[in-house]
Amino acid sequence: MLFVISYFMKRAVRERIKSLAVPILAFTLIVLINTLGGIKEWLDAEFENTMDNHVIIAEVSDLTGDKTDNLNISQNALELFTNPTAALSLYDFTSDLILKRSFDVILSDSQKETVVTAITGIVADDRLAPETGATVSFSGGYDDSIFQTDKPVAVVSEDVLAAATDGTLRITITEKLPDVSEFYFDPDIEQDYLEMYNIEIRQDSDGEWLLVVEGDNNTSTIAYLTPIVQSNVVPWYDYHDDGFVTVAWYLPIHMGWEAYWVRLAGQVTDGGYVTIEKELEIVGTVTGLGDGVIFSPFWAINSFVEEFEDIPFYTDRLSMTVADNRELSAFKIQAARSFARVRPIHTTIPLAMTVYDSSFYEAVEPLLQNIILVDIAIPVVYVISVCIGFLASTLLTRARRSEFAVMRSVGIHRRDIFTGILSEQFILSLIGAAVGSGLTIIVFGSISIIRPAILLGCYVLGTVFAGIKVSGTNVLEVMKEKE
Amino acid sequence: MDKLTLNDVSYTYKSKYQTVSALAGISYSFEPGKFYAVVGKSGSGKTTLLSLIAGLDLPMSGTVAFGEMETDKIDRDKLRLEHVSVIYQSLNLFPLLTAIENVMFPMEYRGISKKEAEETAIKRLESVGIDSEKHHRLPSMLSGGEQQRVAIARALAAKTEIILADEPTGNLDSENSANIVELLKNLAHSENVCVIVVTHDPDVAQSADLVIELLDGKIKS
Repeated sequence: MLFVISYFMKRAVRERIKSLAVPILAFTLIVLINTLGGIKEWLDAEFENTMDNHVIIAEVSDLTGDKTDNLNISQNALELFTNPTAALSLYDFTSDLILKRSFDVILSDSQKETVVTAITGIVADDRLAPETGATVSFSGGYDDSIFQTDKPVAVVSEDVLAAATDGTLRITITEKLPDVSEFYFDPDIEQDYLEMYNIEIRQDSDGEWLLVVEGDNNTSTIAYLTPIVQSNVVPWYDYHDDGFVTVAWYLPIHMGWEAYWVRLAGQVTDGGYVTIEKELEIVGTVTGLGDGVIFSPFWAINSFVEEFEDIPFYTDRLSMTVADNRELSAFKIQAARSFARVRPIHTTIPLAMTVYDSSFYEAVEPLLQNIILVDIAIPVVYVISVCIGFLASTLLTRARRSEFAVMRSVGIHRRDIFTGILSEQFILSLIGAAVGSGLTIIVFGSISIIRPAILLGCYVLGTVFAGIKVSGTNVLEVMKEKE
Repeated sequence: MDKLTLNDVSYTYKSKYQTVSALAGISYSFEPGKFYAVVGKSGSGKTTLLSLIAGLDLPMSGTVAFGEMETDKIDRDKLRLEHVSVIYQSLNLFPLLTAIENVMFPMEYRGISKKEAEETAIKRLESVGIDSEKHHRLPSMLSGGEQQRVAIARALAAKTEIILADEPTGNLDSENSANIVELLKNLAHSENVCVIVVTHDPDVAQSADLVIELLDGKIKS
């Protein structure tokens, strides 16, 4: 068998020009597949780079999407993003939360009234956006990342700095505690809603205001409309400047839980104030926003407020970065489910979330389309290679039928002829493949060996079919044709 | 050499439109050292007879045997490699091998060393009248007669006991034809080879020791 293979190679060398057909074909196919492979690898790299590095921002807003500040988002809503074990948690999908809340304060040294804005980064407050012209300068080696900590520091305007003592700002945080003396339904509320759920307000014998919902099977659930938690019914109160108090609660109905939301009016009276005195180290200045400006880390101010149960926790602003762009679809589905629960329960303003992913999709979709095209093209080239291998071998060996007839007539086994044809085609195509691969390495720098190997295999497979056919040459037929 | 025996051999060609009986119950024994001529009109079964003897095909019925070995029970490629050589009217040689390489080919395939095969090839080429200066020429650079001589030299080098020739002088002029026939006849007598020649040429038939005439697939005489 080795002798027959050496014969085939010897004749290929002597045939010279005709023998170049197979290497040239193989070279062309290899250059094609390597080029497609190089394009695919480039597209894949670009796709992964976009997935890894493209920043997608998601922002909580009202239902119109326009209002993204002063949203009064409660702790329960925020827990979706901070507590990995919360139901329908979005913790794993998000990162870099941007929070903001304002507190009324009195500067201890000057008794001046102003506002502390607690933020998790300068992007949390639109006043600090570059286009406003405001500038923030840090000292002591600090930078914007200080706002992500709970360190008691502050960045202040020049006048506040001037009034501070030894670089320390003393503030008194004040929070109003309203009381409600009378409850009644918001006149705008739909009566059908009240009738459907048998909701009414009444006072008990002690004069306590309560909300009653008549459930099925003659059950009723009572929620006291004063800030007192009752057994398993926990009302949620949101006090508004216009005097309305919003109440929402969960009621057990049969085996499931239903959320009812009703907006009540309550006559708000002055329930007094809570004051907290704290010190903040001044670590920077802000200019361009006027006087009395104080920015402090959100979690630092929040830690002060947490000392008092009566002061509700909330954030006025909530935005975030999608942690893993590959999970974007899952994140959006989960967020839709989560926010369906958030809206009536955890805030006075129905909330929505906007995911700013249009630029991401603009970047990714063309890449995906091209990847799909190349993914289709590559196997097509493999199939074409089988066909070209078959056609080329058939045409080339057909012209040598008399030679194969002579081989058969002198007693060369059919399998040795087949092996010789296959070996010849394989070696010639390997030469072309090697040259083609060398060229594409020069162009692309490196190539995968798998695709050229598969293509070569496909080409040789086509050769197999031709080889089987021609190795069984009928000697007499060929001789008679020639004569 | 074991005697070549045909025993009630029949062969039929079947095509889409007809069935043709090429050989019908041929029985014959061929002796070594004799020069046989097989004659007959076109379609009488001469080439079919040759192909069955060469093992290129099997009879539909009957047997072709070399001594005790029937062709349907042996490796017919090996038969042609070691026992039976076939020479055709033309295209007997590998076009991209030189004369000497053509003669060496079957020997090297059988595993004989290159050196030994070359020595044998040189000897055989000279015995058939191919000078050394032509040993390294491609077939395209040899005349028709010289090509046939190289084919004969290959058969000699392979030391096969039977040489079959199908119209070996068909493409040659009279002088070359006579030379080839003479060569084959001498081979038969001096090398004790059984030479069977299929021919339309009456001069070739006349030179044979025995003439077998086929008519309609049967031996007429």
